[in-house]
Amino acid sequence: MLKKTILILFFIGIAIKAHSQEINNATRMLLLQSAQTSPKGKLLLSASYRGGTINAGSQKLWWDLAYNSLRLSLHYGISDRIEFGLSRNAWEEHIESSLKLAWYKKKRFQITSYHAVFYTFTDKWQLDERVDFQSSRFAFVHQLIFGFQVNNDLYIQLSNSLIHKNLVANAGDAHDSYIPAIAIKQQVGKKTDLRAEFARKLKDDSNIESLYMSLGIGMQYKKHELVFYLSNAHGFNEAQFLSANTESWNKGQVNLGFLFQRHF
Amino acid sequence: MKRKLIRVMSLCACLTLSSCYYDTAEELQQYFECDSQNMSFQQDIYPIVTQYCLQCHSANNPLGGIQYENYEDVMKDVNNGSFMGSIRHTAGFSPMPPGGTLLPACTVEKLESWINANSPNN
Repeated sequence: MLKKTILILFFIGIAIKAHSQEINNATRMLLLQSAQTSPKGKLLLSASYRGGTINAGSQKLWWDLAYNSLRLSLHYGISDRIEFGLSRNAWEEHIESSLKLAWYKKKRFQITSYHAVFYTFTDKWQLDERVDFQSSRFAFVHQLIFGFQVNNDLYIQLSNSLIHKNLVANAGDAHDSYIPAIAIKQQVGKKTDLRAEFARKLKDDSNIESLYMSLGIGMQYKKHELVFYLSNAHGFNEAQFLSANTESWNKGQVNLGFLFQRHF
Repeated sequence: MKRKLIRVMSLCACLTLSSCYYDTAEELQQYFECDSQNMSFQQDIYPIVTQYCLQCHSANNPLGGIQYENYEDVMKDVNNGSFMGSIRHTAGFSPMPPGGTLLPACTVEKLESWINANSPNN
């Protein structure tokens, strides 16, 4: 009897451990970076698709290229604590290079910093009526992420982002934005979770929406992860969806999107 | 490991912080004078439409059912207000061009000047 009990407890322990290891293995929550980095030697392929607003008809939601956009990215774990990434965004034609560093890594608590450089490579940037500097095409983000694994099902993270744009439209607009954000991931099944992200820009800019919110549902299958979400942001990177977002939930500007991630 | 992290971090800081600038589009545009007087549809306006609109709104690719092949096509949207509404990103109109950025201020000024002069077909 005692043997049986010990065996049962042993297998329950293994199951709980395996389950908790699967929680928050993604390096991206919805649009925000998570505190997790890719394991050493692992390559993460990530593809994001953003449709149009859900209340604007099926043409804009799925087919109209003016409203739909794609992001492809590759993230490689140089070590268990350093991740290097390269991405390309169709929206505003950005390429970005990023580095994620895990400074403190424990089972329940993690501190990670994320650093990225965005470069706008579109020819549309070159305007006939404006001096065009290469420097104007760059934007930067530095992010400090605190991740808390509250219990086996609940993960909460706080992100503090400093975003710098070399060029802004008007004299009153801020080049530097400090934006705190919170992201929550609640496991609702063995392979299913609910996710939410919320960010508030501390200083308001003209024509820029200060609030950002995304809600999503994630599904994992082996090394694959698929997340469907609704968001008031149309951009994919932090310089777009945190500091240059013009869309609002209050005005019904809610975009449908999905994120697919796979580790190789 | 910590040393490695600090080295990588220092390199990132050097690369990114050394390339920060504080430019505004308004200031950069001041180097140019915008001549928006006596706009001609053929000489000034249609080239703008060709450059910014025809990629998605030609007869071969009329996205959203909109095409700008000639003066009459453009005037349909000028008259119902959606042409400048979209260009100015006014609420209720689809912002154009897509991508969140406005057209250059001088280009918008030229279009408005032409419309204010009763949109001549010249």
